[in-house]
Amino acid sequence: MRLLVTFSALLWPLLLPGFAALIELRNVTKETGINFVHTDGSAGNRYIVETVASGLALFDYDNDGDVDIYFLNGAPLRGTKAQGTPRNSLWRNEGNWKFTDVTSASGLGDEAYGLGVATADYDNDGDQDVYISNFGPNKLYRNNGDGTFSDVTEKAGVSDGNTKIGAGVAFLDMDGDGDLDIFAAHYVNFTYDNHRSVRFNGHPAYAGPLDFQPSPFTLFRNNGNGTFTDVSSESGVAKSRGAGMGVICADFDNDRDTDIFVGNDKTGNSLFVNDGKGNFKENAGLAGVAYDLAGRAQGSMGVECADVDNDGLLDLFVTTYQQELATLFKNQGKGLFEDVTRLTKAGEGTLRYVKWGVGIVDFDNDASRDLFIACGHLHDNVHLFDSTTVYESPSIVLRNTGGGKFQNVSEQAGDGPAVKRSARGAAFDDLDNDGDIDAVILNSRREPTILRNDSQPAHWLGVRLIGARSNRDGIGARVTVVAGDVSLVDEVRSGRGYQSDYGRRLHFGLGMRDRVERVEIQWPGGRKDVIQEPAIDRLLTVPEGRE
Amino acid sequence: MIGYPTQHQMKKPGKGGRGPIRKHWLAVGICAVALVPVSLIWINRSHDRRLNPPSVTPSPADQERALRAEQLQAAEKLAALFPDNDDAVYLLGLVHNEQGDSAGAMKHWERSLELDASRTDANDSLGYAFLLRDDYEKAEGYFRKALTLDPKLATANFRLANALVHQGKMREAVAILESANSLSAEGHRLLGEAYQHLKEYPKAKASYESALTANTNLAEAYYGLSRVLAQSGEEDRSKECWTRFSALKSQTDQQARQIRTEYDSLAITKRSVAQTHTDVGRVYILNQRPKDAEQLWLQAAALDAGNTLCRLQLAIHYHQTEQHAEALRYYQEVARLDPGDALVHLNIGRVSLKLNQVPQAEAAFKKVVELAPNRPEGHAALAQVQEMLRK
Repeated sequence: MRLLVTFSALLWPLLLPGFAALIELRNVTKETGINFVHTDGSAGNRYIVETVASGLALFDYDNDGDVDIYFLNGAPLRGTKAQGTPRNSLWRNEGNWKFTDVTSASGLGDEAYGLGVATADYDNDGDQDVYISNFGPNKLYRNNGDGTFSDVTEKAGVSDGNTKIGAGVAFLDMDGDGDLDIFAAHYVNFTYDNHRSVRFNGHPAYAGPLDFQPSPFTLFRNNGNGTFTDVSSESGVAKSRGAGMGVICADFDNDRDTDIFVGNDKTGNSLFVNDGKGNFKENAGLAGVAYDLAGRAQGSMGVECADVDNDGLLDLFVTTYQQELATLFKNQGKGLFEDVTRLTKAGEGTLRYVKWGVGIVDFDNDASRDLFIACGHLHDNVHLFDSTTVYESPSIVLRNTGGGKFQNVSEQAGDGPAVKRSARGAAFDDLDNDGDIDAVILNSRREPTILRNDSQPAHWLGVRLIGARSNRDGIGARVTVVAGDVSLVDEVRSGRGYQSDYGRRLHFGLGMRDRVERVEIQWPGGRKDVIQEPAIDRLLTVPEGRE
Repeated sequence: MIGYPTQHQMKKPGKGGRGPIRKHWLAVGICAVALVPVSLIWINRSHDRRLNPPSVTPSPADQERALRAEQLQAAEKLAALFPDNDDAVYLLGLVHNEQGDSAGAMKHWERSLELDASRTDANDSLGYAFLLRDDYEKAEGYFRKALTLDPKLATANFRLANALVHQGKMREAVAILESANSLSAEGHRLLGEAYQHLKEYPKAKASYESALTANTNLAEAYYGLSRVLAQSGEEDRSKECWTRFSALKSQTDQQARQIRTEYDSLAITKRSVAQTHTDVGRVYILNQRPKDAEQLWLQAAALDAGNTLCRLQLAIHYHQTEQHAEALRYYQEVARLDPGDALVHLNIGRVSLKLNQVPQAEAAFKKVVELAPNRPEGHAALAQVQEMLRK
């Protein structure tokens, strides 16, 4: 609570007429002690899998109240001579922006080719487990509760084949039975044998998703005894396929069950609508989220949802390839969305870059959620054949000026967004527990970027749910914070952005509002809890059943 | 996708078309191993293998890079020789753009406007370059200038509307599109999109329907119509349009995958370089350097067996310089590539006569009459040659 002492004084500027809160994100990477360096396992062969690695997770692996960082890593591909053995990397948050490498001690140093990750308490034992999608078999690591993890993939039955390129993964309670199921997207059917090489003006380049066939998706139902059953076919998710990238699960149609949205690269996005019992029907086209407004399939990468205009409905935001705007789909209710990117300027400044990690985050705590987009090209030699873009790009910050309208403030938002890298996953949480949301970006072939939020302080409320009849994390629960003139909604979820996971604690910026009337929690099992007038500027922990 | 103005659309050299550069997944191609050598020099070298140690065949990638270097060199040489010639400078910009250097291209296009502010194509190209760089205000400015210079320029009209839509200026976009003399199917679709943004669903629906009248297979118009009908509560009709869209989309996706499988980037590079050589040659000829022009057109013909324009330029050049046998050869090649051009057959006849090939001339003039029965030149020439045959 670094700044709370002077909080009231600092809030004075907010009262001035015409005041616009500022977002300030500072690059503190060097201070953190994190020396992880990502590898994509490449050696010049330009296998397509290299272009899509990797995601990361922010989660509290040791239940000490600090959010820790887990980076996925690539692995040597055919023809690559590795120096050492690359592996995923877990960093314990020691507080005060210091992190310690606990990879070996934790047992989370998986050496497979890591792509996507989701964390959640799948066995309802009070700690966070980890599911990883790989190029090759996926992995499930069970948290032993003592800071270590055990590989339980085989026993759980969730390896999801041996040769797929994994993508976004997510935990969700698809049937409201109180335990968490797993959804796993896949990219394309790449093998070393069907590898293709391409050229631009004689320069070598990576093939694209349309050079391969897309894969069907996988859904595992939790049997409640540490094992899972593959229900991809019977649930309906295997009926459609796409070159899957980011995944996010939420109640998009407000019918109190969890639906699944997958951003597909150039193959039209997928929206699996849940009937509440874990049966899904793909409906992205009619819902209006498969394509952009002009009916074009985009190179979708990261996906995120939040209520950007505070109308009580979860909108969708999708990052995309170069020469496509990052796209905001406004939820209009009744299962319909509309691409409002141009009207809201949610894609401003995004056209030139390839865009990956994404967050819909209220950086300035003004009760309107802003957008963060991590960028970077996949061709490291793009300067040889395209001067409209660059390999290492800055990040983009779009400030929500209210009502879901955005303004590009990237160049006024501190030195953090200016860091130029070829980013992939991005994750967001309050790493220093000071009441604002920080950011971590995984960069391809480089060290990560850690951004501390130094924006002007404003009131806020954090909410952490502990399920009882519902799953322990409260994943799928919808929280509504009523404060004066605004009702802010969010849902607890696991798996989001670009093949990443973060934000188990919900965060609500309140701006100048110094009082919250009530917090309503709609649990996935159907129960509703209401907390009246909770204290603000702190994390509120709500066990299911507490009034 | 909107394309750049073409090299053939250069103000002075003439007209024609070149597709847009695709710096995107769709532009990624698989290149077959090409056996055709880079240039005549390479052919000559291969004849000397018995005398010299065997040389290593350049890889297709090396060939492509060599061709691109040759292309840039040709345009740079032209611009260096005629630094104040706006065509030469504009053309150099096109080549930079073709090779992915849009920053360099913009510099040259701006210079071409300094030399001649009335260039519609340079304004249009600059506008589009700014559009791709997310700078919609500047794009709008250049498109407006292009339209001031040529109010009927359909590409600038459409692109201006696009730049306005990007800026959220839907009313202005509607005004531009509604005031256009005629709209393409894509123009009607964009109008539908603008109306959709404005929530004027009946007008959006009418625009999408107009797009489909203009092009019954415009999948994106079915998509727009499906969205508008869904917004209007017409679920069943929305589903019908969605089904139609999906079927068309599936077809085009399959075609796109097939194109990628068969994509021959070396062949495409050759076509592109041949086109540049043709255009550079045309600037040379306008500036009284026929030898330079001839050399480039010959190179173009060797690179691209399907390039009609370079062959036509060669034929005209040889015709004018009374090298009738060469002229006949190239006119005949043009006629083979474009058999419907009566003027080419007329010239085949005329050159044949110069070579005393009277029966061939008669056949050519008969073809002219067949292709253009209302043109007097064919009838007159045919009568003349038939008179000659009778004598």
